[in-house]
Amino acid sequence: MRSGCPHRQSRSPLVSSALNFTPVPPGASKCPTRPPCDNAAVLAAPAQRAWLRDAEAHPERLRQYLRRVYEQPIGVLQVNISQFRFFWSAVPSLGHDFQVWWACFLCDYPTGALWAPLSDAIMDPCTTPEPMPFPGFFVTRTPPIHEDVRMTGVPDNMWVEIIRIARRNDKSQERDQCLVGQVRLQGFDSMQFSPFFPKMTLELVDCRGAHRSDALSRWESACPPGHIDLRAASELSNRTMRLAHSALKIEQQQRFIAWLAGSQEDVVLRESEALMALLRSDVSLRPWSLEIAKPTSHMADAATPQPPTAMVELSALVSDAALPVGSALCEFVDDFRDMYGQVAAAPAERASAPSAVPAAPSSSLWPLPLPSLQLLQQLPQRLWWRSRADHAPAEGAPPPLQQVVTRVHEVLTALEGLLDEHLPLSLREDPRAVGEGRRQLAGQLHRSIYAVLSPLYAAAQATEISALAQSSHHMRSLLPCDLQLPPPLWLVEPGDPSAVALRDCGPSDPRLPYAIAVQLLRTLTFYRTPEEKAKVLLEACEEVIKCATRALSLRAAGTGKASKGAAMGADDLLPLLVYVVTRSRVTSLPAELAFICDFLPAGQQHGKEGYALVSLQCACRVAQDLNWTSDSLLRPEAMGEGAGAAAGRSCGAAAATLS
Amino acid sequence: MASRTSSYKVVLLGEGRVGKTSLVLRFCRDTFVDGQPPTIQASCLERALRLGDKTVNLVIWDTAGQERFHALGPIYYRDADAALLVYDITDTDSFKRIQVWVRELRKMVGDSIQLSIAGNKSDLERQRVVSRQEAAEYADSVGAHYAETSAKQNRGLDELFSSMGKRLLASREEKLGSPALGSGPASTRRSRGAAMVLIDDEPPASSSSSRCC
Repeated sequence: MRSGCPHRQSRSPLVSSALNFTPVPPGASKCPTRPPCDNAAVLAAPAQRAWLRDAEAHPERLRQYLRRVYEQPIGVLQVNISQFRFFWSAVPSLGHDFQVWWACFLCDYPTGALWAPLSDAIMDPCTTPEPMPFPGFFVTRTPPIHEDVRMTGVPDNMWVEIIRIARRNDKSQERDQCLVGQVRLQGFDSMQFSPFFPKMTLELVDCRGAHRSDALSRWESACPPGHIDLRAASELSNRTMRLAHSALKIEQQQRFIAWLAGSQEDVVLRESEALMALLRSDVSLRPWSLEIAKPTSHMADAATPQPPTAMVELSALVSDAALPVGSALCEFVDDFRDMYGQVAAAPAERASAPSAVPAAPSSSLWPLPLPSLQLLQQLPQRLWWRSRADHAPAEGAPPPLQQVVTRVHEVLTALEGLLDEHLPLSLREDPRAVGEGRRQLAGQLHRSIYAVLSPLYAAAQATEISALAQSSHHMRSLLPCDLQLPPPLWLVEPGDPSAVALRDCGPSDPRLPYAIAVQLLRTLTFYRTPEEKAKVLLEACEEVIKCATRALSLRAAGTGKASKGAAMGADDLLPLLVYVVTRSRVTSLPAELAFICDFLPAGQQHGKEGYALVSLQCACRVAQDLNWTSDSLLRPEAMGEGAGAAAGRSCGAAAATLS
Repeated sequence: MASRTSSYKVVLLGEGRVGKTSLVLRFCRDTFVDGQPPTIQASCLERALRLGDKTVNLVIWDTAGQERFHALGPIYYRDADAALLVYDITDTDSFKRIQVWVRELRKMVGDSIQLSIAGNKSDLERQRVVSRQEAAEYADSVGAHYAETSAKQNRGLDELFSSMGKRLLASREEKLGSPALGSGPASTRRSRGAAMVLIDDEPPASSSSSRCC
């Protein structure tokens, strides 16, 4: 760490009052360009092991401490030690000193190892082995991240664990705002915590991929699980991120960070002073906070003020024919005609004489590139921001979702009518051209208004989202073998030793049964148009069936019975979808499904996409009130197993979860 | 318009293990000519029927028979043109379950849905517990078409589905005669406004009125 770094200076007093850590000096490492790291010393460290044993043997003590830290009344906070990866250093009743291995993203840490993340994201412990204060450490309970991550950054759909340092809930004041260096990102499963934590969100500020030319867009479509709000943490971070992204090389970026660390000293000092003042007045204040999200998505954060009052205004504006939407549409039609014309001209001319129907362009040319509909795209954005500025958040007023949806449908119909009018005659007679034009138009519209619609849906479905989040958390160790299903569809037998490990797996783990379907479903939130989303649903269903069919035919082959067309009906599909929904932890799923249901074109509602949608709606409903204790969907003997696993096997007692 | 292929949504209801899946699989697979396998397999199958000069395309939606999913039925049969209720002639409970479904369908969807009742596993005549007469009388009393089928021996299926197709066509022609313009198979009939009704376990009664064009 650079000596001038204000973070360290400001935090040292806080930490030293708690505990001192001595990092293990780096040993052998697999980092190709870095000095080696050594885990053996960590694994062999008796103090760490003792501490962990201690913590796990006396979960009540740790729980008491956490309860105090989080200021939660007893009974609200449910702590599951076996899922608990992050330990505070200052456990009062334990009071050990530890050797902690300073881990960076590029290091490997075997399961069971203790590691502490750096207090500065950009710092690499392999090159800066000096001791740094940090209040706690993690226990690795998941397999190491795949090697490719080093090259490509965190891939799509991977869950990340985020540690934020020295931030409190209220981000409105400058002293609470986060610096880039205060955020550490790790490719680990998110922490398991009760969904009842109020006013907490996770923010992801990641600099590792900042040198990539597509860094900004890539992060937007990658990483965030449902409950992680992907955004720069503050204005400062926004600016930082922008600048960091503009720096093309890592070296430039690191220089920039160094500059940032030097220049923001006053902010950090103020933060530190305020913390110290609070610390003196209130002993229970947490000097370091790990922010934990309620496992609801950013779409669904009920505490976030919604600006719904302006939504009606928005839709009125969009549908107002006098507004520039009309001219925007003309542009769109012109573009579309040009593009389609170029593609379709030759075959259409050739075929026009003998047949009344113009020949469709060859299918390899579809889909056509999207014409721009820029004005339409900008309109809601402008309104959105204006509404945020003008309107105080509506108090208790339900978001006028229904009006907005109706209006959007009206707008869409009107736009389609206009499109038909503006299309040249030759194209208008080609059903394929008209269909494609409408499809693209609808896609444009949805892309432009998604940011407005999605919070409305989240608010409308808040209860369902919350129920699903709670249930997904409660049922997080669910496996297909817990369900009333034909045994070949379990993929993993309940008695299998690997089943035990699989129960603790995160949703990105490729060893999970039906992992591909789970991961597919997790991409749902990355798409903006109902058609794209419905396609994801269909693919997820198909993947489940593909997997299950393979298992069935393998079993049929194994038992020597002639395969009489191993086929799966809804009786088997639905329970598996419940499993996939639960495991995927896409907690915004109810809102997503409602959105798709409202806007999926009627033709598709009737087809396979519609079926996939309805099946997932069903599965989602059932997943919301699934529970271990009594559910006709679960095998009776599985109820005990799964519940025990959920309650914390490593504690050796099922009583680890407080109710 | 009549010459165009019209597509109908058929929802398949019945208790688990009555043979819903194999029934529909038998019906759709036997004449499933195109090379590509159906992607969601037996859960959602399509089959085109020639009825005279018209082609009827049936999209058959399988549902989960488990009791746990029962309350979610309305999500499935929303906008369905026909329902095929399958029971097992060797199982009285499955027949009773059919009656629950029929009551529910009539209450939720109204008369616009064509009902067909199939007594499956007719090859197991010796173990029969639901008599043909009892079932046929019940079907008559609720205005449903009744057929006994055997998915195993491929009996009664063509008759069942072609009767369904005919009745779907007839009811549609009846509707075409009415002054409403928007009538047609569900895919075109569903107005945008109706599509956005959020489905609940207990859909509001008004949802049925939007179906009568």
